Amino acid sequence: MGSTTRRVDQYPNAPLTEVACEIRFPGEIAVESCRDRFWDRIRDAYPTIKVPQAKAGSAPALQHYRYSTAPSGGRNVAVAINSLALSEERYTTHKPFLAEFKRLHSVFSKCYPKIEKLNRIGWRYMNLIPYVREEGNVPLARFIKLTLPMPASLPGQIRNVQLSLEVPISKGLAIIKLATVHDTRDTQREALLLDLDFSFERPNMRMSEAPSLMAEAHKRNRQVFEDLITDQYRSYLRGEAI
Amino acid sequence: MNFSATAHALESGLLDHWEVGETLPSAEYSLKVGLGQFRPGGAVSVPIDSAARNGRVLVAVRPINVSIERSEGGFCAENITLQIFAAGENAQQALADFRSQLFELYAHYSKLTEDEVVGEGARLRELFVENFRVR
Repeated sequence: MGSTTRRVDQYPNAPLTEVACEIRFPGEIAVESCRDRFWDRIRDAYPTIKVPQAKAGSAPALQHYRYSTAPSGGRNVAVAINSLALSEERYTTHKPFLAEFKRLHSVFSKCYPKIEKLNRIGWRYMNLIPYVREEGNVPLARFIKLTLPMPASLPGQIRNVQLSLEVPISKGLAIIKLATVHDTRDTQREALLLDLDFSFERPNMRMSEAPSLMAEAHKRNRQVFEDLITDQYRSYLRGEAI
Repeated sequence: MNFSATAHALESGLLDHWEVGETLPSAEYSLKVGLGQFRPGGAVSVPIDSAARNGRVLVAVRPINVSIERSEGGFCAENITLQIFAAGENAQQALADFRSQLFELYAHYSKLTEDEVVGEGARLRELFVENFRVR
């Protein structure tokens, strides 16, 4: 990478609002019937339990129990019959987050040794990028390099965005969601929601490989983010603004 | 991807039966409805990199951090380093006023020589001359 795309671990003005990583595996009944087996080993760090509310049309076993560091904010571990996820709202850098995932994965593997294979592994970044409209339009090009070829009859200005792309990238899949959103308490406060998900979904992924595959998913998703933002916006994220 | 309805729609000719493909995102997450990072009533920072006037464009070498906040009767947009304090009835107008002031201040300071300014004036002159270009 050139100097303009030099990567830093943590941007001082990072737009991240939540980070999540997840492994999915073939349903294992012990994960549901022996929930205490796992929680007993992590309850010191995650003392708050959040149980899912019943949802019409959704199987209860597929809904996550959440173990949290605090009643609101902080880190959450989410567990369902076929899934283990870690999410964080006050994310700093990937190293402590990956280290925590590795620890949780180790504990989880010992609690449920029958889980040997993975179906899917994914890393997700949710970003909120505040902006102010210019002549009523979204100044998308200031932040994001994503452009779609438009016919001459459609001018380049954009009033609102609601976009979802699935892009296969060498053995993985990037899901890019871009939308204009506003603060429900103050509609003048607007932001671009840039939701990036990178996953591996292929046969024969072993449970023991999860930490290394997760590190790779993080790396690839970070690259998607770096490739999507403009150099000017990156400069702002680095704290180089006047 | 679930396109199960597609075949039926084609057979019946009723295209309103089409369904969008279902994406499979990783991990449930709960994006805060009120935009988690925004404090109610607090300022948001927005980067800008240019201001245009009469066909001329003032381009910043580095992004300018504009802090936008509700104030009595409207919004203010400011950058303390550049000593710009703009206002408007809404965020768009406040930002437009900010750009206008940015252009005026650049025009003012870029005309001055080193000998004509001291103290805060010298700092602002250096800041504008070194960080902005007109196209």
